Amino acid sequence: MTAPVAAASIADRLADEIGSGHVVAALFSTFTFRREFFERVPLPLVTAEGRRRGFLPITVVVDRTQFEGSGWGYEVVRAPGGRRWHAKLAAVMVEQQGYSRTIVAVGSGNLTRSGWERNLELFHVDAWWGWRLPEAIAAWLRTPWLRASAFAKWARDERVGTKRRHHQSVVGSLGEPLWQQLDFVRRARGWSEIHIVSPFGDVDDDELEAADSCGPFFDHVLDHAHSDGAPMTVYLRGVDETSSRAYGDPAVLKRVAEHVDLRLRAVQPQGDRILHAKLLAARSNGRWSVLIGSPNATGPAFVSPAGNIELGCEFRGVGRTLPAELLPRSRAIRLTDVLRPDVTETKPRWECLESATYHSRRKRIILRWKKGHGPFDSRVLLEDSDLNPKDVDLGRVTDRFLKTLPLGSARRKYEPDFVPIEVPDDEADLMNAAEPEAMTADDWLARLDGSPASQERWGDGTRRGGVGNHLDVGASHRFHWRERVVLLDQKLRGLDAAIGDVLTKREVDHLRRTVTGVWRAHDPEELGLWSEVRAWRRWVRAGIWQVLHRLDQRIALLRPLSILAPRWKRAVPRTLREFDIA
Amino acid sequence: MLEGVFWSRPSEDDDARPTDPLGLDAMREELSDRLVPCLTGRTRSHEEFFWSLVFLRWGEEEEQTDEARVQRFLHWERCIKLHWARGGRDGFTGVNRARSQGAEHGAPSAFFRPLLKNQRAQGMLGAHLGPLRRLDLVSETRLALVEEGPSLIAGAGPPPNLRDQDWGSWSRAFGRAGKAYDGRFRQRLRERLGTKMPNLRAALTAVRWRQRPAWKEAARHIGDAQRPFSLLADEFCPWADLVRGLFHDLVTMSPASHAPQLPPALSTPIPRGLGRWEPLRHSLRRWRRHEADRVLADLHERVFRERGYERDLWMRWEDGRRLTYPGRASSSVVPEGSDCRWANAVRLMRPAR
Repeated sequence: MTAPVAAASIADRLADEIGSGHVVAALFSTFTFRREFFERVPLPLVTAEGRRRGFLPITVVVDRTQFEGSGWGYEVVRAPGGRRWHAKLAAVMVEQQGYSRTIVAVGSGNLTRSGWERNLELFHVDAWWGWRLPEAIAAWLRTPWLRASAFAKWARDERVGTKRRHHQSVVGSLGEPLWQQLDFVRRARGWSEIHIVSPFGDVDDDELEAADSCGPFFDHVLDHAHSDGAPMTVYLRGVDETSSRAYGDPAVLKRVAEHVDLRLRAVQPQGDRILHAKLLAARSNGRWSVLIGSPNATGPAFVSPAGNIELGCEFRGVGRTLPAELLPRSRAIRLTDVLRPDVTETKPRWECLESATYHSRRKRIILRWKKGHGPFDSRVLLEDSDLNPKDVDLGRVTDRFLKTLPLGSARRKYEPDFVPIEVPDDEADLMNAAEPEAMTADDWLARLDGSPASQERWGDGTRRGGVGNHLDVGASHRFHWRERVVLLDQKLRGLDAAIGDVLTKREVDHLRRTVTGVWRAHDPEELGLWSEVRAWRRWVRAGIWQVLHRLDQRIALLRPLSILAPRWKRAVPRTLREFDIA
Repeated sequence: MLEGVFWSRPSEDDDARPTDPLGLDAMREELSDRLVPCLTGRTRSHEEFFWSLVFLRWGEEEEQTDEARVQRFLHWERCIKLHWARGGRDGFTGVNRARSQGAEHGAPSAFFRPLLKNQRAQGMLGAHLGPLRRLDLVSETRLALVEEGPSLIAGAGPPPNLRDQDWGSWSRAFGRAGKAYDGRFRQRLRERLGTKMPNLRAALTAVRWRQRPAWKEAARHIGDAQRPFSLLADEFCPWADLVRGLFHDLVTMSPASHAPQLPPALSTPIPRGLGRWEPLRHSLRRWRRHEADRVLADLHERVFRERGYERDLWMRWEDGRRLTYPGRASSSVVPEGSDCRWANAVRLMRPAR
């Protein structure tokens, strides 16, 4: 007896799998991407609640049309044009008590609140010992555009291998359409019964084309039917909770009904939970095989040679019956109950740039405009300020992308576009984003515990996330000692925790760079400092030294860090000036 | 054969941090830190204070580094919550997962699996460490009890040995340690809270420890320095709940529906020194009650822009109309701490009868 398919939260399942392990790298893939949600739920899951944010190679691949820049401590990679990037994946590489472990989640949910917390989605979470990835995912990492990503570099450094399972396989459409990889198709067997769960209608903006393009998919399905009149059940997204109407393409379904015993079912929304899962279950030779994942029942998803990039998990030989609860709860409907979905028209993006490449030596960005576009019809922004391409210091930039906007009357018709700034391979990587000379003491201190610098500011105008000391001190200036001391304490505590968490040499090197940067940026002997700032810098140095001093007996891996304490011993202030902090 | 496949459902994490699209929770927290600095929105019971101290002590005995002590704390927290859940108790964070882990085959197991997605921040440690430090019971620089800390939990004993698949050993262990949690502990904690927040104690005594928030009445007795904050809390707490609810309605209602009216603008002056209130200060300057969608969309955009989420707006005001994105919004509004910690202060500081 096969166990019924359970219901669970993808976030909870991943948290359970990670357990007490340390995540060392992560790769996500999605069509739509919501930064606010990602930084709130998935990112804390893999960065130990944010404590290791900035220390790990974390890469998110999104569709070209959905790219909106990266955030601090992770990189978002825009998939190249031409093929829709529709694959949904979370691959988490974990180290647990000295052993390596891989967790892979494949499913239908995007990296959005709807995809992870609201819609009815199907996921598969699998884990195994060792750092190995299914070939379909490893193949992505070899593509020229993803090869340079932080995760791909990490995977090469760690010599991540490939993983195969006997009765299931992760299949992707990068090299070959999914349809040709299905078990019963490869074996040239016809199906005698089939279930297709395919929601049409716009949810998460990722099915805009679905209803229009399902014809080629159903043609292939019909070609492989074992006999005329074989039962085919299609599950469609119900229009609302009460009615029996559902979204789909009535013309295609009518044509399909002429060849098979077509049964239509509507999956009604449960409150705000709407069907978004995709499933194909086919019975051939008396046994079922099941595919779940990102592909909708459309031509571009399954059969077109240069169609979407999809990712699914196929289970071969599931058994003679399907597990209970695999198919969604639904209600039988007639063909006349099927409606074409109303797809909300979204404004196109202002795609005026072909590319933007950074040249560090000349400190400029070379813009390649698309034909017919140029500065005369477009505005280009970098971190919300107009870009001067001839004078750019990328070391000061957190999010490396340009925002393009139309000028004039086109403004109402287009949404802004976001173009990643290409940085040559020999440039500093994500972990070493800023050029030291471009960083202020604020910036350095903000990074001390691996947390992002806040944009909030002190009353004195310095940034709050970093306990700053670059002050334009006026008569009314007040040095916020209390807040500074509290924050410094947090930063030092964070540094201590970060040191406790480091696992790899790369992380130790990163910590060493950070700590050294903070130390150098807080030279109390620098000329022209106010006495309060000078005193403050001594406090910061003393704090850092105290944390490092505790490391004397640590293991060899931490030696690059722990030798800093004796080296700096002479420079540590013997006495610290005290201030009233009421 | 389909092991690992599941239908998605919302997280069981029953105490996930609510999203704060208007920044009102952050403002309320800042205000609460002025009024009730030694508590948080999640410090609700003497008993959790007690166990937090005990777990810190046990961690101190077992481990040398702070990071390892944190791990031990999380371990002990999970164990006691499994024990509580088995006894049918609820009302603590992580209760859902504690119940399911406690009901599994082979339970109880001391193998650590988190009860909350962010257990370190959202669990007992995140809620109690700051207050315990402000009460001078835990060191400011490391995870170790100081001053009166050890004597408060004298009698809790050493860290117990919990055996897998043996609920009896778990009950005995926590029962033995729990004997140290008595009326005397509660009394001493109350006294310490009162000593550290004397103005608040005086104000709550003057209003006879009433359960319903009464910051306006308390303002008369709380002292000059805190009076403006207390008066603001009195008006702001219900006002912010109303505005947040309105915003949620606007995001979820049909775009064609007419926007409801906003409550009147805050009349109490916002004292200086509240840094997180800048977006609201700006909105209050153009507060038009019949333009709820414009006003709240503007406030929302300011708050999200500050956080770098301007592309993830739940609601936008464009070309004179409201554009909403309900798929991005959280499904419900969590009114956690919406009384500026009044109820928690009364519960924890009120003298025993």
